[in-house]
Amino acid sequence: MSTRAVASSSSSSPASALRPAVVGFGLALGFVLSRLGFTDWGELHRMLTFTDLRLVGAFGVAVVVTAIGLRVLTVGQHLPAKPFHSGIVPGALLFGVGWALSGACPGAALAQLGEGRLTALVSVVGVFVGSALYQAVAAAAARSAALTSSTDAPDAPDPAGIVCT
Amino acid sequence: MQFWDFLAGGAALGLVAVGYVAAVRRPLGVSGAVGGLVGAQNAGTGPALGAPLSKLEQAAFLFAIAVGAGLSALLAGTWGADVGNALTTSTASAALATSPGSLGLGATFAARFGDGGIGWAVVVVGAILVGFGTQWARGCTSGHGLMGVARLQKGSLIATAVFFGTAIVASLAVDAILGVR
Repeated sequence: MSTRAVASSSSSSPASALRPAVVGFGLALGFVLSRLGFTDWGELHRMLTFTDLRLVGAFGVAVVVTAIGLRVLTVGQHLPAKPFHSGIVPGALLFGVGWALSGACPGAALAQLGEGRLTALVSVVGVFVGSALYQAVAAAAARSAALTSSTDAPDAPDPAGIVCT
Repeated sequence: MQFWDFLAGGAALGLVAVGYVAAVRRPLGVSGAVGGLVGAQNAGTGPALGAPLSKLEQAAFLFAIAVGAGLSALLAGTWGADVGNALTTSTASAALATSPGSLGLGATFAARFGDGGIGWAVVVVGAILVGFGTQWARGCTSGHGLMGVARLQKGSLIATAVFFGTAIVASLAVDAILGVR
């Protein structure tokens, strides 16, 4: 059996698959986000208002370490591309405002919940509701695009697209 | 909690990202896992890549993030420190003494939005924007900001510049409008 055949057979994972590394690195990510203070509204606010640049520095170091690490790993070259698309600017714009207000990016919201922060209850629900809302809007847009497009174009573009983050 | 300094903390975050990719052979992304659980397509396969996360793995990954952070707070003795009725260790009591009985987001937040209905509303609206925006942009701080920027991906570089930029503007605007420094 060729490696390609092995890879393609493993790319359709059963819904019940659970790799320990996914859990292990999830635990590590939560721990590090907490110890960095990425879950702390005040720390985040001080970064975003330039009163304390510790978190900016930390993020910069993390990016450099990740860049070097991925260059060393051969798999790093095969990760899916993140090209520009029409949702990048409006999506990131809304995310930036929401991040500044709630003090929670998706990972930090979950970490805040673990830390026993009361508002994280609504942050996590809010992130999920907002995400589901987008998927619903995108699906509706895809349906209307399919309706308005001519009948000889049966496969309408999927605005929900590929989420490979 | 005594936060890690930028060098050690940043290196730890980078190593987590690299370790995840080495072990799972997928890009690390929190909003991707959230999106997968609410119906988004999870794709981007290739011969060198691992299988996309299953629904169970997406849920387990998100749950593990919460547990890992909880472990951090418990070890530091700050679990629920800002929450008035939470576990009160000696450290938590000290934290309570310096912050109002806030919503769990600390004194900086409470000084701007209080610890009542307005505070809740700000968090709810903000979190919904985070969810909607990260799905629209197909990535968040981890997928775009960390993984994408480290690989100099065009979409991620633009997304990260935009979300950092608007977050800075929004934060400065909050302080200017509310007259808090």
